[in-house]
Amino acid sequence: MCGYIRDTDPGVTQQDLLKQFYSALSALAEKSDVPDVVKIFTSGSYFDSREVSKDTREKISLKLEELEIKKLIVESRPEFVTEEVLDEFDGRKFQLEVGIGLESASDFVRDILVNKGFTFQEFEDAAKFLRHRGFRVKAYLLLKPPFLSESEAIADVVHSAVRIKKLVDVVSINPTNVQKGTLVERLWERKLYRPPWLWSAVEAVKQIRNEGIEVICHPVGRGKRSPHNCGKCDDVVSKALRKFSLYQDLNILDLKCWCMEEWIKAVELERFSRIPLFH
Amino acid sequence: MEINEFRINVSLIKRDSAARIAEIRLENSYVTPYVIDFTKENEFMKLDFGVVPDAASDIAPELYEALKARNKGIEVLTGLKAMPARRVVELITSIKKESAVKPIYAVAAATPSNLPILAYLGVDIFDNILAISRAYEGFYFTPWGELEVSSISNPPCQCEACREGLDVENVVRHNTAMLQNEAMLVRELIKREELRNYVEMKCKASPELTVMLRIADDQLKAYINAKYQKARFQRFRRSTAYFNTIESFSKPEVTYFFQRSAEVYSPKSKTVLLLPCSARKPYLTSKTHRTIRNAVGRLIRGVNEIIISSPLVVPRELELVYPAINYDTPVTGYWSEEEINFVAERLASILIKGEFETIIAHVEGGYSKAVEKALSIAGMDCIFTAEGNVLSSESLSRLRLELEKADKGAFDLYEEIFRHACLYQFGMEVGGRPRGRYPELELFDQRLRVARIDARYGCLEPDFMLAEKLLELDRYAVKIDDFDPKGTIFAPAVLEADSRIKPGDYVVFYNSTMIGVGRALMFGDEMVEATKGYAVEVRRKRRNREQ
Repeated sequence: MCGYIRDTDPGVTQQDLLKQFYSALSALAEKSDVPDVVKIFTSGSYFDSREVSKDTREKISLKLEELEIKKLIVESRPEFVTEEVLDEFDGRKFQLEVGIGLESASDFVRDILVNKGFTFQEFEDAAKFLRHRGFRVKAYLLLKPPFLSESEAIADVVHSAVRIKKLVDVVSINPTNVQKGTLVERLWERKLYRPPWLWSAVEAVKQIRNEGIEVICHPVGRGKRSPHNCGKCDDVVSKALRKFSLYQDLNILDLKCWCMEEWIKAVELERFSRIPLFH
Repeated sequence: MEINEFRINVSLIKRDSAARIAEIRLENSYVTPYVIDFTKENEFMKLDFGVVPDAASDIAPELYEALKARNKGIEVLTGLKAMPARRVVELITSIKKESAVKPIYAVAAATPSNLPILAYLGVDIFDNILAISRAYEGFYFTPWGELEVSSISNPPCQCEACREGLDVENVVRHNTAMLQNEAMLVRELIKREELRNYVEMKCKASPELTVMLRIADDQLKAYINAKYQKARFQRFRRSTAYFNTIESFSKPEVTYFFQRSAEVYSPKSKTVLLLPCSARKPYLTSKTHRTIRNAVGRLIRGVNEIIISSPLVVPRELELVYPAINYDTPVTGYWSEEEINFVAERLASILIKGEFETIIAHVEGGYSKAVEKALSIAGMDCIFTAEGNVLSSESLSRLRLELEKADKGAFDLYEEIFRHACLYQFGMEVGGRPRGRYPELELFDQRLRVARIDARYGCLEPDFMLAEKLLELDRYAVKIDDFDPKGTIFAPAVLEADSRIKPGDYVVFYNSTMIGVGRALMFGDEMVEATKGYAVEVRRKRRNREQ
């Protein structure tokens, strides 16, 4: 169900990647404020040397140390979390946090609905190994893969977060958006899929936080292809979720809108209807 | 996913083609068509609704196969609201083709507009999920369609909820009541075997529903043309067939009538008289037809007749067969091009089948247009005898003149009526001496009655003599357990049944000691499959003669 295959260009070279990295940094330098945290969002695996070579990683690390960055956040599938790669980050002046797209702790959801291609065991091994080597671990959980109803989607991320509580430092909830060329898009076009309500993200975050888990959520995009509520409260709720992600204070999520009533009905009834009742 | 083992029992009470009133038992029992109330906890929630909806079966076929709803004893259909009409019809009819017994629950699909046609196609159970979600979106159900709650100043409904005011909870209650009203009305119409007329009317509320009915009719037409035995329709019924919409021309019983009458029509003369239809049925009892027959007297003997109507074309021999015996059509004197073409094509094929040498058309107005068109299709000629009023003395004397000249055969009309009705209904010849006052005719062989006309259903009711012949030929036969059946034979007692049997058909039931005649209340394969419910209504029975 991943749409990034369409955004991949095999012609991109390691030089291109570095150029992009340096130009992003220079954009920051212009603001004179050097950040504490750098997040390299590859939409892939930073540790996969076919994507980012060892040499490129080395150059990036050196540059970050030179800038006295405190924390680097990258992402990777578990199979690329190897001793050899982690050795590259031993004794660096910055802390490393690795995000792994587990999507769901349920084998059914991850294997069959998301088609992720790795087992929970592989995730667990990678997470334990990272923590053993002293690095931070973040798990991405997908809110509302295709065919899960609103209530099942909330329950799935909450169960997943609880199950991995002891394996990770932070859980990131990723509400699904409709990407071009995916199964989700074909379902969405036929009104068989609706991206999650932002209320569902709020609900999931509340339940997970109440389990004592550090949880973040940055809904991406606007409009019907993206996680949304009635349209009127979308910006306020998205903003609150981002703010919560910084402060972990549940009071921030004390929000109200008339459309919550519709959302409650969606949660109650869509597990029976199997298709969205509200769009 | 495991199959839900939830036990479900179905007991048929009354059929009207694919629609039915049945008692469905889970822990409690429910009478169909039933609307589940999802504002309350209910035991249907324990069913398996699957993961992938039926509506996604084409987008994700493998996931669908693995993750569709699986329940023993009930089909739970999801996502019908998001499916095009053709797929909805195909999905429901494909289930009905396999089993007329297994109940169908259409989840989150019912509105007051579509409930009747879904019930007509064979859906038994509905719910108020859309009634709830649409209320929350601000929509108010009416029998016609939806209104925006915000636009209503005086609610067009007297229900308790509407009198209290249109807050969202009350709109949910009102919308649900609208669905329940439709379900209860459908139940009453099934009892009266007239759901089809209502469905034709309801479908006019939206093009989508009209498409659904047309596709269902097309599909049944293909089954009927292919002589598919398990086609889910009824040949004979006791309700009046209305011809108020284009879709009424393709009622399955009409499709069957045209196909079957063209197959069995075997007139005994080379001359045919074409006559206009009459408001009163059967035609022979009408003032128009009696006046014409009185005017021509004996000259009509040995001449075949075909009555032209819109949309029916009825050989006199078949005028006691449904729907010819019991229909009503709007008469204005104006015939649309569509009507003319429809009737002309069917008249042409029946004229060709009859191999007539002389055609006398005693018709006027739109009827003559249809005749002219039919003649040009068939490549035949005819003599028009009426000018203006078909009952004027000029018209009638011209008719007499032409009938005098015409070549005649030798046959008795009532005998021909029985012969044709038996061919039509059972595919076999029957002979004897007719008695009785039209249309309540009986056929005798010596002193034994062979059959009688059932004018209420428009068919032949066999007596023992005909029943024994049917049994020999293994047609419309139902083998039952060895017991002496009283008023009704229930499904568990049925061992074997001809799969041609439709509800409303007369059947022969038998066991090692008895033979009898009854009216089928189920489809043939349904009687065998069902473990409960009314299967055959006993009309007459006797011990086998050799015993």
